[in-house]
Amino acid sequence: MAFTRTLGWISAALALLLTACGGGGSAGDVHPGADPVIVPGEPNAFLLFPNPQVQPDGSLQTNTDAYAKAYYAAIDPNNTKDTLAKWKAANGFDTGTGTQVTTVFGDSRDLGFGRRITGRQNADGTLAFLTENYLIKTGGAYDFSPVNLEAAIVRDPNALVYVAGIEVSPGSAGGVSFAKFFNFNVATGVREDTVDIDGRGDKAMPGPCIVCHGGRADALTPPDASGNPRFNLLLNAVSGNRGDVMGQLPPFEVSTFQFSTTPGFTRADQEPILKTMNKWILCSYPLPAPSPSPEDACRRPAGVGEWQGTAAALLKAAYGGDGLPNPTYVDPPPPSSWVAANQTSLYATVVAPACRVCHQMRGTGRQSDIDLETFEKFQSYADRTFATVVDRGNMPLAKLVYDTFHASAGEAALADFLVGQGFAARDSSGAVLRPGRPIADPGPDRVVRQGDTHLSAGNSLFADTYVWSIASGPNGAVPVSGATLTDANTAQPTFNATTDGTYVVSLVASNASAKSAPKLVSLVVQNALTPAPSAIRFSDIKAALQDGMVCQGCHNRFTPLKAPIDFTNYDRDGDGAVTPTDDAWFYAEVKSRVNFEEIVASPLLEKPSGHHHFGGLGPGFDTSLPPGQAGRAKYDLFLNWILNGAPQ
Amino acid sequence: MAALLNLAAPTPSAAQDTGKGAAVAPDSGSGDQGPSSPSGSARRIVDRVEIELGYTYDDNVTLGRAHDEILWDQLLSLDVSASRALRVDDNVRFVVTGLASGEKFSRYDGLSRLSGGLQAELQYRQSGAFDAITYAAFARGWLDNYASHLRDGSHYSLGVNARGALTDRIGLLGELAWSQRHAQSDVWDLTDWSARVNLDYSLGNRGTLYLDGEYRRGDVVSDGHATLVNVSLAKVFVLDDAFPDKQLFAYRSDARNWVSTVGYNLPLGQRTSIDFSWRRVESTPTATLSFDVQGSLRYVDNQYSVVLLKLF
Repeated sequence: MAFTRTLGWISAALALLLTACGGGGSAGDVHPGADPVIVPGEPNAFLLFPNPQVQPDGSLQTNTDAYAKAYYAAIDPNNTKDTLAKWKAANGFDTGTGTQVTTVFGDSRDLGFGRRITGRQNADGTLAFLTENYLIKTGGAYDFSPVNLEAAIVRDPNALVYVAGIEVSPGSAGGVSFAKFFNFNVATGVREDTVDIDGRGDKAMPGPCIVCHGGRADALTPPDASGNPRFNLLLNAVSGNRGDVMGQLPPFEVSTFQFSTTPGFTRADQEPILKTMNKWILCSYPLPAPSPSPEDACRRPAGVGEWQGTAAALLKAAYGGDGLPNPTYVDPPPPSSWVAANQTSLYATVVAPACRVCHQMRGTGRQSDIDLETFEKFQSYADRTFATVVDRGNMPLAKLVYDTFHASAGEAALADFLVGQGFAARDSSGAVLRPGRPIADPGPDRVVRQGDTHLSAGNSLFADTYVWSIASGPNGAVPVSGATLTDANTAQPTFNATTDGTYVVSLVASNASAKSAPKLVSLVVQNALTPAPSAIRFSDIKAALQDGMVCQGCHNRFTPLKAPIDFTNYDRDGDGAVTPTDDAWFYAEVKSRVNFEEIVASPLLEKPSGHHHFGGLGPGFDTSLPPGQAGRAKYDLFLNWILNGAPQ
Repeated sequence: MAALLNLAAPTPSAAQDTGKGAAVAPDSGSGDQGPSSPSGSARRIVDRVEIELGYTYDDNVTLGRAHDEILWDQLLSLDVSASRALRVDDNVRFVVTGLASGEKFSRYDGLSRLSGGLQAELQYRQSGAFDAITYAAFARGWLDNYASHLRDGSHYSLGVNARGALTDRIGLLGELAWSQRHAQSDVWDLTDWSARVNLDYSLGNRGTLYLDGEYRRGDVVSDGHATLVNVSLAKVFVLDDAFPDKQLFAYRSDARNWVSTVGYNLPLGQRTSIDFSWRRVESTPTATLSFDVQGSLRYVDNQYSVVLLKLF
């Protein structure tokens, strides 16, 4: 059958055609609508607080629905703003009262959205900003594209990814206005507990907003009589409201925006609107000292314990100084300190594009190193900069800024700065180190008793395999006697010493593709240590905090110093009596200052040991001394409590 | 019947899959008469060889929508086909055709290509009567090698058709086809259905006038800038390597396409003719955008061709 054979050959040929050619897609193919690809093993802690409040089960409390619910309950206790329509009505939108303007621009630097922001200033001075964020998903990073701006102009509902509302208004009981952050469902308008700002998954409100708006994210209280936890109360917040996270409104840095060429949406069209909004924002900033400038007349005096309106300097400089004489925004030159230190390049390539927008919203009247306004402040944070930018990769805070930074000259400039400060920001070949490589962290040096001590590699980064070893014994003895290490190839080995002395333990962490350098930890064995590390409880910590007036002398709600936390016993839940419930709340407040993701960075350890602390170095917290010395006994106590999980 | 029997030339063949249409082949004599007129010599490897040498001016090779997205070009083409008819019985025959084709563009060389393929067609004709209709089912497959690497791949079609003579001057062909294309880039992974009608009007020795109308529903590729409209229409897009200095993105969208061709075939001899045609492609995306768009979403492409055809 010639016909059958021929048909067979043709079928085979056609099959070959189909399988041999094409298919699979090219590297440049872009499929609109696809979410960004999250690469396993790469940094992915964007838009999260450096201390996200790790809970015993490993979850991050600041990223839970409970956190969002407690926040909304604090700022809107009667649910009068639980939909977009209600929120708009409550803030006077489209009523013809007050002043209302709308701007549209491309946020090409920070989040990549096309943004349509309608802002209004009410007659009573309260402010509200409704932000529609537009993004055409293209499967890569949440990068800016002019089509996002186009989408904002035409209000393409398919590209609307989230709707944010920020108002600056008093709490439900009145008083000083503070910023409140809302997120609404793009389709239904219902207020939502979570928001996905960067395509990397939902995050609980208000975290992804306030992390860059200057807010704090302390832990919730234990449940109150209603069975629900309450949002934290920051004692240095002038408003005195739970829910006042001390967040602010960053200036619109117009020079970083992109604008359309469409009439009505050009930069020239938008500049006057943005200046109006920036003047409103300036009005929301507390004023640290009296000012004759008319634009400052609307600002309330700053409390000493709060943010001092630092970003006002940038705003004023951008519009020509006091009086805001210039009609358009011009990116201001580096602050004088940076010029005097001859560090303008570092400022221009690192601080201005990658740090300033968030850091300028931080700091208080008592301690403001974190605002990085001067080179000296930036220098004082070199250790944390190295940890967060080079090791952990959780700074810069937003993925788009992170990507831009690591593709820019700023990466090398920062590395050179850090090398100059004594940090190994380049490898042996001179290449800039980037986050994502395995980092071994055996935990901080500590004092322990004889017997079992449980070690943990849990603070290591980008690793899944661990190898521990005892590098040396007392007086540097090798080989080591008097101590053993079991489960040495796990994340949590047990060290057992039968003889006092200082032992050095090494940890090497690795992943499928790389191995870390060995990291050493000193374990000072003192069998007379009291209390035993495993026996330390909150009562011991509280006793140290309340020892004389060293800590509680400033950290009480009555002093004019306005520290954010009170270390005294008082009626925290407001039920009229100081009860064990108040102690549980106190415990939560203190534990909130423990960073279980990076223990050495816990404010409970950092602050009293003299890092960016208005009170300086506290007695018993001198970390220049080796573990076990009397001069750092309180630090050792706190550290061992934390290493043991900070039990109540 | 000349045009009706010209099945060798692929229909969707050009760079953006709007391809220039099939020209009318000169009368090839008894070899193309259908199943009831079986081929002559069994010793010949092929019954029919056809060569087409053409020139085409295309006013929208990008199939662009906006003014600044529309680019024109001109191209030379060479198509060679060789077919062999195998008799199955008195009413059925099987025609196998080997195909080779090339296009050389003048301005945008990335669109230039070489292709080779095979077509198999099973034809049935009830009788040798003048008005007997010939029914056929065909399968066609091509390998494509473009100067634009993204377009490299293959395409194939499956379809059925019927052809017959209405009068001694008028021939008619109707065809339904399903086509699919695979390429290096997903943008050119295309699927469509088409319905086509072709009408030939013979002018005797003065040649043949023909009209060809096709409705095609499915994927279409256009080039354009990264605008919201284009991105919203796109199922997938890629920076097009065929227009390296233009920053144009090729994107695939779903569209309704009307392809119409008007042509005139002038015999230059027993086995040679020259063909003049105007082919118009009009595509309208099926997607409904969620925002107001100024102007039309319609794409129009005109191709003006002169083709010299030679049968052996």
